[in-house]
Amino acid sequence: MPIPCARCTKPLPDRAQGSDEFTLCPSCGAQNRVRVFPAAFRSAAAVRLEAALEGEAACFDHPGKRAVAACRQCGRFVCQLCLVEFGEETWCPACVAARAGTAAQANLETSRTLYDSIALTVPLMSLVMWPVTVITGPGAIVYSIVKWRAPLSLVRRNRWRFVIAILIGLAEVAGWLLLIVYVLFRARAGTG
Amino acid sequence: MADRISYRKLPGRRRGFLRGASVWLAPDHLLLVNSMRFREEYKRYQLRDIQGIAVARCVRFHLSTRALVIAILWLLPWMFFPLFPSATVPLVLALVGLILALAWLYISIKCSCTCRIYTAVSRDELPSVYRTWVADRFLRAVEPEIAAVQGALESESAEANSVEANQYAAPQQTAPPEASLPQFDPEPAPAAAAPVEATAFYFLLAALLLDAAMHGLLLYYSVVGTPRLSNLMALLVIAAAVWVLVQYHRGKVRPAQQKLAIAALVGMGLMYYIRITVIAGLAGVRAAIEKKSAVLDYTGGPVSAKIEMGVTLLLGLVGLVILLAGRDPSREPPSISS
Repeated sequence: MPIPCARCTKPLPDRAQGSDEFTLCPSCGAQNRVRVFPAAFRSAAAVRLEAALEGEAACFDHPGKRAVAACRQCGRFVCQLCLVEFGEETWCPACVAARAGTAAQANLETSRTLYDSIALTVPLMSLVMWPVTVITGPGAIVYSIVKWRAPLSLVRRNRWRFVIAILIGLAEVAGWLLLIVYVLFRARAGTG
Repeated sequence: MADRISYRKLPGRRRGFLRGASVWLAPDHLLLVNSMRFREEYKRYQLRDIQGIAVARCVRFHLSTRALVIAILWLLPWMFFPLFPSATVPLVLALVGLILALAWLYISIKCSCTCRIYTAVSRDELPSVYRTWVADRFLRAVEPEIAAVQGALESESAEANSVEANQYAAPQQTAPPEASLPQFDPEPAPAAAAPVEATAFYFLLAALLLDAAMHGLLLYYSVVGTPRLSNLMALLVIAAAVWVLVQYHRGKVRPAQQKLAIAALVGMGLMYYIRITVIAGLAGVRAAIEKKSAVLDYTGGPVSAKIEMGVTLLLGLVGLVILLAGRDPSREPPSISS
């Protein structure tokens, strides 16, 4: 498979494949450096569908195709095209899509909400309009505690943002308490 | 289960104002993380499925959050402009700023690249790899991991594999239609080649250049109602930038144009807040020294006008570069000829 140019995605000349030198793309003129791996050459042979012969097990969804495995969850036979491999297990597409039983582990997460970033940003940004901190200060503390055990990012797993958010929230609450005490003190001093 | 996988960060990280990206290595796959402040999106590439990685040199004007921090650090001393002991300090500061800006321009033009990872069914860009030295480190880190899974590729075996693949592929042509494999269609031509509704971008460009010209003229000619005119131009730029963002979400504007609109919005906001902060700070210092009450003039005077003119002119020029560089690549010369 010719690897395309990284800039314009049009095919590069064959000599670029695996060369350590920069190669000019004939379409856009960008200088490309390409690394090709064996999968580029194996793919055509590996994903090859074979027709099921008389008496052979056939795919549940493609009756004409030879089955190569059975779904670990529902037991249906699957052909090479339908086979969903994850780790050492195999499933059929229907079980993976339905997150049925053990097939759920093959249905990987594609996104996550970063509750710790929300908890940190809200009290910080509210400082721009400080009167809002009367809500966001305590809100950040409560939110951080409620979401403490929520799954974080897949790749960074420390909870320092929650800790900082709680500290900022506490500082804002303390600031409001001080302001209230000061106002009450002034009012009492004025009347006395 | 995903939480039990240990990931190692690979070289490169894109630190944008709103979006970021990084690539992480797991024992059997690469994980591309696109973060949008409060949300992360993941895409996995199994090491055994990666067919190739290509790095192409190109121009990338990316302003990272690091660059913003450096710019703020550079701007901070200007708050104490009246307290500078001599004229040397502002000159040195200006020189440092110029060198930093030239370094950023040089890196953006000469040392930038785009990196794509190819599998049988995808050809995705890795946004975190956008500088050539990062691409080198990234390739050095990734190649051994992929080779450990797929084995090393030798030129002879590659040719043999290629021939073998063709041999395997040949009978499929004679097989019945339903037996044929789903073919991976090449992606359509990049967005740059598609007709683009650029009215919003032209408007933004015109507003930026007009704003710069207006600030330049106001340095030499006094006009009645200058603050109102300045505010009107700022509103015009903001409106144009918002229009570009709306058009981007409708798929009618290119990403580089959207980024310029964001930069214009951030620039206008920063200039506004920094001007007010600096003016208030200076007035406070003067009031403390002279022990008089401070009178604030939020227009900022000629220094502010020069800075605003410089920023809007720079944004306008970047916009022109984007406009010229974004034409059909098949008809344009390469961006980098080194």
